[in-house]
Amino acid sequence: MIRALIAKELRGLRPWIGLVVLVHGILLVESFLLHAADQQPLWPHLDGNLINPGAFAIVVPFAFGIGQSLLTQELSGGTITFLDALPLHRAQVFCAKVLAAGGLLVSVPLVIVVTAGAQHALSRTSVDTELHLDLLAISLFMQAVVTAYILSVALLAGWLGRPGWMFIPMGFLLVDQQHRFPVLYFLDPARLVDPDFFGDAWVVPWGTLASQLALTFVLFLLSYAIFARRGVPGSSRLTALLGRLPWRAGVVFLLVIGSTVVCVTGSSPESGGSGRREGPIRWTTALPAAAVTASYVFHFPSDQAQPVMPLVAQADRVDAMIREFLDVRAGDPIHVDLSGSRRRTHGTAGWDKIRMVQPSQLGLERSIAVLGHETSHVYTARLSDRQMTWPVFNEGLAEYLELTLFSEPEDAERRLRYAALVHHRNKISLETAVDDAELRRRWDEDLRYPLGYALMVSLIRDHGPQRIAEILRAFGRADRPDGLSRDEAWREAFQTADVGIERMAARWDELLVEVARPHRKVWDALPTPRVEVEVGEENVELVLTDPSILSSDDEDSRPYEVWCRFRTDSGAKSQDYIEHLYFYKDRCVVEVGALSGSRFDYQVGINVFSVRGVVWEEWEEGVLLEDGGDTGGH
Amino acid sequence: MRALVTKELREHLWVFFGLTVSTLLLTAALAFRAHVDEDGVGGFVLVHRFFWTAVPLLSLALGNRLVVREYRSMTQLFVETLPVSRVAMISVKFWLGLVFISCNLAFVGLVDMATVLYAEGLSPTFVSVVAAKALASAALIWSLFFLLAFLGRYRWLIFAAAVVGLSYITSTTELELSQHALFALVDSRLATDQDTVPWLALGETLGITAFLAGVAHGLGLVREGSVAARLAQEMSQREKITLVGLALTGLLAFMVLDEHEEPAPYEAPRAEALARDGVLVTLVSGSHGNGQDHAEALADELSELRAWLGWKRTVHVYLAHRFSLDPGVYQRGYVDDASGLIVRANLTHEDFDPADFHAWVIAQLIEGPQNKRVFTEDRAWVRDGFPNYWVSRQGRSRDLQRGRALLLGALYAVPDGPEPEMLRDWFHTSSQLGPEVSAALAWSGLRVIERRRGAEAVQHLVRDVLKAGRSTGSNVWRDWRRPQARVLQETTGLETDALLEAWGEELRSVEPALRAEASALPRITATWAPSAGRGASRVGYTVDISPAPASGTAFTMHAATAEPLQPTVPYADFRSTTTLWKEGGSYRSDRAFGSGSRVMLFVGLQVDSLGMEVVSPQHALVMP
Repeated sequence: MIRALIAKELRGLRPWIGLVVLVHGILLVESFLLHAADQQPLWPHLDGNLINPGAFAIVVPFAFGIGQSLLTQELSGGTITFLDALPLHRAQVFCAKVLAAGGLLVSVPLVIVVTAGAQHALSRTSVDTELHLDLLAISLFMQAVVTAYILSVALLAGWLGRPGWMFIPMGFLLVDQQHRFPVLYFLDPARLVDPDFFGDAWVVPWGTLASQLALTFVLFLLSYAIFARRGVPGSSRLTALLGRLPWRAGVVFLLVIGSTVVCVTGSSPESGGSGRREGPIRWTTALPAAAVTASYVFHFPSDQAQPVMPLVAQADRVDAMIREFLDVRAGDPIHVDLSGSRRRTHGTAGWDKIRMVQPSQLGLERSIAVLGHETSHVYTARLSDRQMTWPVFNEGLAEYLELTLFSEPEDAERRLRYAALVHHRNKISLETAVDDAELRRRWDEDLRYPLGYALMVSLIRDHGPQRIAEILRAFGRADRPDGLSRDEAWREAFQTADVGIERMAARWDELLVEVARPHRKVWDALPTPRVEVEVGEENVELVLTDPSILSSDDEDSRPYEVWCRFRTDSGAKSQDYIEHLYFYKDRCVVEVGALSGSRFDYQVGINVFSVRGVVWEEWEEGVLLEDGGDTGGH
Repeated sequence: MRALVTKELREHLWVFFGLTVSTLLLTAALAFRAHVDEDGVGGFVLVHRFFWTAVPLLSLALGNRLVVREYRSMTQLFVETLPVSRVAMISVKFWLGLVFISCNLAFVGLVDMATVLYAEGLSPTFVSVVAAKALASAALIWSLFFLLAFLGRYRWLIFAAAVVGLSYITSTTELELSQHALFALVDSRLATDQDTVPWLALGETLGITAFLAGVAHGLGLVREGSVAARLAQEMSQREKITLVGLALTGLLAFMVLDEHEEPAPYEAPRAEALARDGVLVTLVSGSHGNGQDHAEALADELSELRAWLGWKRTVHVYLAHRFSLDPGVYQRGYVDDASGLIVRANLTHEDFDPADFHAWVIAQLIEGPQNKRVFTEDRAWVRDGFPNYWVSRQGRSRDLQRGRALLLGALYAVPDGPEPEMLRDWFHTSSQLGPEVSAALAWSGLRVIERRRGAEAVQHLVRDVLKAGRSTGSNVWRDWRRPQARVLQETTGLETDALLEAWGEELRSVEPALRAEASALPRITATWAPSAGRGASRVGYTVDISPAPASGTAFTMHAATAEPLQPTVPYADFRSTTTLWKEGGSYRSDRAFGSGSRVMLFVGLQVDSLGMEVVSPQHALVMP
């Protein structure tokens, strides 16, 4: 009898069967005629919903379309009376209807899975000869469960008549809110058919599967209960009321409410906009590559590997030389990011990471020197447990190692002469030199490099090279006393390493005076540039008070050139300066637009060729024109 | 007339009320969102957003309510018995809807004005311009939905057809929809454009509105309104099924058409194409050094190739220079909805090898979208071998060295010739030998055919293989009826077995010194195991290179995460880690992999005498 019932239901579903057959036909044409069936392996179709995401788009509207009339038609048309007259239980009628509709709907994923399996069988190559029947079976089972789940919802929605279609957008809205209400995760049918894999194995989400099977059962039960009781108690009135209601207007109203909710809550975090297109051509980007040595891991784009390899080959030697000087064992590898460094720098260093400019831009020799410089920072930080915070010491040590281990001897000599020249002209004490902020405020924070280098030379001359590592270890030792001020902590650490700060300062002074002595006459003859500021509406101009220091007669033989630079904030770091400006005739010009705010600082200096360094005068302050105001500056 | 208005208002009063409440809610939500996004000041942002979200919905609801409902329930017959004209009845519905929508829009505009006034003041011109644009556009939307309402049960079908048709026209012609009618009036500039009145667009909008309203009135009047009444009736089940069937069939037709539609060629700015017979090559990024020379050489090469293959033309090739790329690194570029092969290389690098670059470009050309059947495994060895065959073909003295390296590579791969399964299972062969060595092996096969049967035989074979065509069912059927073994026999006169035998003979007859050099080349094996660490897992591996290279020699570990079941990963998707060799050493990947991920791995060693990377077989590892 149940077979006859199913046959009756299938007759009733004939229009839908026609549609499903049409869908199957389209799927088969698409799979076997429009595309090459022997070039459709299984794996590219496993990362989305279902093996074919289109199955959802077909099953959902078909299920709701069928659900509109499958149960209700018997009641509204009165034909249930005929069925009741037969020796059948209402449950059998219900089951026959569900089986017929479910079978029809499941045929959609069945055809899709069988098609995918057939395509894969034809597409197998020598690198994947398996049929993967287990995956296909799991996929079909999951899709059958999802189809039953959707049908159970559709049957229940069918009792509401046309407004039941609203279950579809409401379902999508609910699914979209999973990030807010994680419990909805278990109700999302996509979770069953969007597989998680462990290797090649489909990880079945048992919790979600059980939840949805249970819910499906409950919903079917509910539909049956309504069907067995000849509809929802009072449903005829409800249906009549719903029929009278302008449900289309209701749809519009709900859409407006939905839009309102979306407007207020915003989109879910997952739903980002489409990616920004960078230019008209999108190039295939190079994947990141790495090169591992005993001490370093270099990171760089794989399409720019060639200039990196010579540096990689030298890297462990660099590390060994630094460690030998500091008497330190190798630690964790240092990661070197070759994607570039901060503006105006060739490299920067952290605890275990270095960023530096591509070797293709620096050349191999310079790259080795920069790697050595930054590596010394890493070991300084590790030895002192980041407690050595004198920039002049840190940079001085890095400069010392770079110049003595990886550069030509004349570079080191020139660096010391530059420090001596600065010390000679600006009378900078070690107390000032260790204060980075003061250097920046008055002269040039980059003076920590030459002055620090001189500090290292004097320290090593006085105490030997091993004392440097002892100082760092004194800073980094675990038993340092707590509660000391910064100055006290420094003094304590230097004392622990048996280095007196006053003695260190005196030796530093002596060294610089000694280096300056042979050059004093020449250096004293160097001019001290003085300027007046002319602030216009478009430009700010620094005008030399004594243009003769730039007289064109001896331009080629002049041992220096005069530079100027600007900043808008006295605390700004050197990378934010407006610099590399030269005097043309007697003027150095910057556009007002480059200076923000109402005031600015300016500085003039002489670039002395023999020491390859600029000796800056102290910063001065200038004032920009107010609207309609007067020229300012001093 | 007044009575008609009163009747409509009485009948639909609560609908108007509900829609007004919806408008209020939506306006509040939009204002809140604008405030959150901090873009609520500075113009009529709400009007712009409200227009594109609510005005179509309001028009849809009112069209259904005022027209469809009336005609479906035939209540218009009662009205027609009264002493009012049919035109008046329809006009009242039209104007009532238009006034209601305009009032809603005006309300949103007032909210916007209050915000703008508070922020920065407002000029009357600005208000007038925005009002004119928004109201004219709203009138067009309403008149469209009003007309659709008279189409009754077919309104959605016609609406969908109109949208599809419009998008088809815009995609196939140069019509810029955004420059016309309401799309020009209510674009992103509406909120801020203070004084530009796009008169043309305004005229278009009002003209279309008048036309649509006129047609709607006409539909309501045809055969005394009986057409509209008949159209308004519900669809029968049969009609619905037929329409769904038609829609699905239309979808299929669209898929077919879309599949075969070739986008227009990419238009490179400020670049002139070098034209050869059937070949276009454009230097994209200006003339960098000898870039123009390279473009001309490539054009000549492709022109010769085109004639040899018997192609009518090749796709347009766009050549760009990139100074930072390593020599031997070539990249593809893509432009949305444009055809053409866009490539770039470091053309000015001292080690730039034109022959190598041409071989790569040819490989890209023969694997174009029109020729996806070339990816079938039985064709693959010819496809892999042909680019090298072409650039190092006989008569090219400059490529003697290249030919020697390729022969060395083939000898390294198979000193005594390939086994039958090596050709049949070419993908497996390639994954074992690596892309460069397997390409050298494939090259040697084509050279064997050339030596035994002449260059014409190779030409016939390659022509046949490379006209594989699109991935369609008809081509599958063609290939099934005419497998590659038959193609080989028909084009070269060689059975597969005879080719393999000749192949072996040729390789065995190579001068002993070269064979000895090939046998001395390093062979790599690697063993892989997951290496648990803090957090994510890494891969531990040991490498055996025989004969062992000098300590400190750089070799490269390649790793790529593969999709489930994915049998191989394209070589371009592997991330490389260069490591220094030490005898008996074991290594660990610098990169961590998530639990359950499939990782494809192999080790490669660049061999200078070969000019290629020799590799260990690819290995798949599932991370625990």
